[in-house]
Amino acid sequence: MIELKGVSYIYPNGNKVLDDIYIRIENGSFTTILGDNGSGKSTLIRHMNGLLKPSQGVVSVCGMDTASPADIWKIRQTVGMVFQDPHSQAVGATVEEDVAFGPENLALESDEIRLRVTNAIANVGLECLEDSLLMSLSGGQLQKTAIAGVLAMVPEILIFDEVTSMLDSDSRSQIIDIVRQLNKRGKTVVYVTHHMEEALFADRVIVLENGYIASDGTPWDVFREIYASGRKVPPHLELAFRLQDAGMISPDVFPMDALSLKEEICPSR
Amino acid sequence: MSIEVNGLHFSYGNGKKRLTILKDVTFSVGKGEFVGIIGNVGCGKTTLIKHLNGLLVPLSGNVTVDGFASSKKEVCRKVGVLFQQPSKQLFCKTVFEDIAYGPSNFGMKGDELEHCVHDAIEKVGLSSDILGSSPFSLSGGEMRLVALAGVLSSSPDYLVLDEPTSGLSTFYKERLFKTLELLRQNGVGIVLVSHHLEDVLGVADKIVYLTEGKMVFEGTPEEYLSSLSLPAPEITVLMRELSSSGLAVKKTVFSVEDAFNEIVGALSEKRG
Repeated sequence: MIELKGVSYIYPNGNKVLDDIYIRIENGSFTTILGDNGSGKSTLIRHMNGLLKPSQGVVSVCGMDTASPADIWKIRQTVGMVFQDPHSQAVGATVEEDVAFGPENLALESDEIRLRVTNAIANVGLECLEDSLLMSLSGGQLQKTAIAGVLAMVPEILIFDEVTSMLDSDSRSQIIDIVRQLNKRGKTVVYVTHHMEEALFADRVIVLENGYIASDGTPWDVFREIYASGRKVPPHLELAFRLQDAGMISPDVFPMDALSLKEEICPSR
Repeated sequence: MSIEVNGLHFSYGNGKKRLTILKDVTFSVGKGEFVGIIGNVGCGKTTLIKHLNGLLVPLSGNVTVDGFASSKKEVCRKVGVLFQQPSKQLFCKTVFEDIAYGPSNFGMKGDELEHCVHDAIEKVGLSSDILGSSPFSLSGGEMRLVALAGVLSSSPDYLVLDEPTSGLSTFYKERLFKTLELLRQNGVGIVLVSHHLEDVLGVADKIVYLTEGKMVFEGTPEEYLSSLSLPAPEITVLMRELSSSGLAVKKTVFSVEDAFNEIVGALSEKRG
């Protein structure tokens, strides 16, 4: 579990990016964090594994204070992070070497390293590319390698920072499927994105605005709120809400995609 | 006056290691024309746009800009390119210096340079208050707009943007498209490379679709949406499904507004 209590953060130039944030991330949950550029999303999640320490307030990970130097090693092993640009996370020459980098640095037995690497690569579906050079991979394959590298450290909590923003729609779908599977297998997921449709799969959506929490709830509640305020929601949801407001479809449905909406408008016989 | 790409072929490497990226690509971009280039990652989009300002030279075929071969130095000033990762295009200590870099290298200085930088930052919708800040202290969206201001300060005749919306929130995306529309109205030819269909279809005059380096489609957005073999936006997919289910809706719609009107009209008629 991650808990932020009254967290504010001020950068050395005096720029206040987080303002009195209270968030509790439950074990096994899938939380998506949305927000405009500069809203504080990246600053927020960098507090969740101690990369940043709060200017005010407390951040704890499984009961450990991120401001405590004695706990920081354990916190970093508990919370794994995957970043936006897969190229900047690549350290090995091949997929296998890259994924093994973390466990090798833990000085684990070679059998344990082999097991972790095999499991991590299988979790992201890259078995057939294990010996491939990273330079030969597509952006999506590189991002899967980065995720496998983090999984090989066996963290309990996974944080994804805009991991699909440089990928095309096919690769995005594959990465989202992997993240959803990892959550179903018990990993706690915190997922930061600009793509609102990716937030539909979460248990909970938090919207950050200028460093404070503007909305916090289920995807249904949050997207209804965003839509009611006149801002953009995913196209199929905007259409669904408009059709609901016009009394054309049931007000209780929350279609996850365009084809689910089609069933509401014109059910298959 | 236009960018003309004729029979462009390009490969990386040679011999057995040759990797062919572009195969016989032909299209043009006129002044004030907005061309959207669509295709999945790895289809050759980025390699293609590097040919438009001479960063790469065709293996065969040719690329000309207003009659000049793309390798000529005149082309550098005519075609501005905004790359996907703005942090790789920003390198000065302050936003002002970054935006001023291009025009000052073309000999501009003093009040004229000052005016040019303020004009460029205004064009992209950012406040001149950030001119003294380090570009690396800005958010991702602001960095991208500063990089764009740095390209615009050299007053290019053509603007090429490589995945400019990746990592941009709705707020900055809308601001970017307003800027592009203004530039187009002022006669700038725009080439927008993206794998986000909705971004391109609503603004482009012409769509070029690439698959594995081959141009498999060139036409208007309406023609693109009519082609069932090409990837479609989710609203268009929905409209096609509704039409197949017997609802009398137009199948080439991709905006929420048009889809809403079509569906309400069809359902009202159906339900009497």
